[in-house]
Amino acid sequence: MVYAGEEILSKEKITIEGDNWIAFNKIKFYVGNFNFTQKASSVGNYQNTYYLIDQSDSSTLEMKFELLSPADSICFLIGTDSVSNVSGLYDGALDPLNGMYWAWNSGYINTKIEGISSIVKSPDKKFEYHIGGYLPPNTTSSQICLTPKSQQLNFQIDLSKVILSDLLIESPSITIPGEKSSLFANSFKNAITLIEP
Amino acid sequence: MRWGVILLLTSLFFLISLRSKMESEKLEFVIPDNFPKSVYDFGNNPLTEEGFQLGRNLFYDPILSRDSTISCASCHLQFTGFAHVDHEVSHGIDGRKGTRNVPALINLAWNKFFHWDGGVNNLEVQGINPVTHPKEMDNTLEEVIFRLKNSNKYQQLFTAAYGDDEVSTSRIFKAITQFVVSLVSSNSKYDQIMRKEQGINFTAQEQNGYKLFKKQCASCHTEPLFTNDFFASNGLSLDSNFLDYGRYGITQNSEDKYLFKIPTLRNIEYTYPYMHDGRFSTLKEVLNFYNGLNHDLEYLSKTLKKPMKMTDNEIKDLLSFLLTLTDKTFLFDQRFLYPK
Repeated sequence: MVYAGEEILSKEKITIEGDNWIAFNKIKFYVGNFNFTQKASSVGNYQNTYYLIDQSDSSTLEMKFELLSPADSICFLIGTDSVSNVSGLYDGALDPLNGMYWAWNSGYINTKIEGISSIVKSPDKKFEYHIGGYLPPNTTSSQICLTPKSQQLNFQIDLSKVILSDLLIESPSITIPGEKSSLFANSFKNAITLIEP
Repeated sequence: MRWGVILLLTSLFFLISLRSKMESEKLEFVIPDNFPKSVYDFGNNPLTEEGFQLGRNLFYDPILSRDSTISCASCHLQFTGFAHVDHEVSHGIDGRKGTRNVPALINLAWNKFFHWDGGVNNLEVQGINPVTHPKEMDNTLEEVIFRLKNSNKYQQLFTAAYGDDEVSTSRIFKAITQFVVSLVSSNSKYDQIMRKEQGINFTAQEQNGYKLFKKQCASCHTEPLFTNDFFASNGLSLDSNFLDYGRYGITQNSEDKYLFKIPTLRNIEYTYPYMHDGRFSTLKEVLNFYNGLNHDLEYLSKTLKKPMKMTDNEIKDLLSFLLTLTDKTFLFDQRFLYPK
């Protein structure tokens, strides 16, 4: 995870735009519904299996899948699907105990990013993005499909493509489903890129 | 000889472990004859006697609240349809007040949405709200799990319900769901008449009230559940204390302003005060309010646009019909009482 090319380390300031800085203390998000196919037939389907990626816990940053044979296509979800959001309680990654669940407006927080930045106007300089919502049109999960070139895939997320100065000034806090959340989720998805091993 | 003994012991051991796995007693969720199919999916939460009893114990236990003073039953009292009589809005921990009237817990198996704003989409996750809300029980899931894990009583109850004493979010709230989903009210005078039970009939006044009910109220408070499980704007002015726009707070859709969940009218005699903020203390006030609605309000739901124009006597008749929705079997069912 980087911010404009610079590796994000928990709570460490990254310099941006002259004298300004940003620091992250929480980056968590869901991925799941992995489906691996070869010539359009499944060689590993992990439907309804979710993983909670937590920047502060390195054990969550790597996922291993057993496949019947090499895959020529991988699809997965950034976030959680609508079925998981309306079907009651789950254990594991989707346990509300993980702090990624809204009780008052039932549904998962697909992405949670918190930190501080000099750009935020409030005295405490805090920003918090709790992004979720599964009802159209303000959905906050999206599918990514790609063609793997090797058995190992490395992803990078550049949060500078999501958390821009304008956003930090105008909306330092987004914590309910809605249009802003949906836009945030879309740019979050676009910030994820496959990098060569 | 020795080998034989060992074999015998082994087979005995197998027998015992087999029995302990079969301990929980399956319960059938019975749909009353005059009711439609229920909504709640028991697929991942099969109803058992032990699950129900665990849920019942949790429902009545203040251990769920931060300072162990408040249980679910503090606000949901059986004798009043699991609502909170005489309290306009909910009262929580440290005397803190919520912003909405405590809803009755009746026939929840037929509901798709919960809370006045419908923000909760599944009965299983509803309980997380009162347990963690700062104005209700103000606790954390971690603390609740810790306390239950360290309680002998609950180690036994969880083992009986689930086969081992592991405590998890899903196990806690699925058990509570088993209890509250079982709160079925279907034996009011109205139900007995609908089922054509012998010797039970409406009085002339109730019969006229029923006719008026079908004309004036039934499009939202649809039989036999007496709610269509949807939302409506019933013309109440915005409450000055809370500025509560209801459903809008969940959907952020301006068309949803002033919409609140349509509550069931079953046992309505006992679930006062009425409306989402408990502003009316008697049914008469409620009926007078609807009868005298300002029909020019732009946010009034369509079904209320036509003036009711009921006479005082008609209001009395309608009221007498509503009292036939009281179900004493439900209100005094021993299975729903504080557990022994």
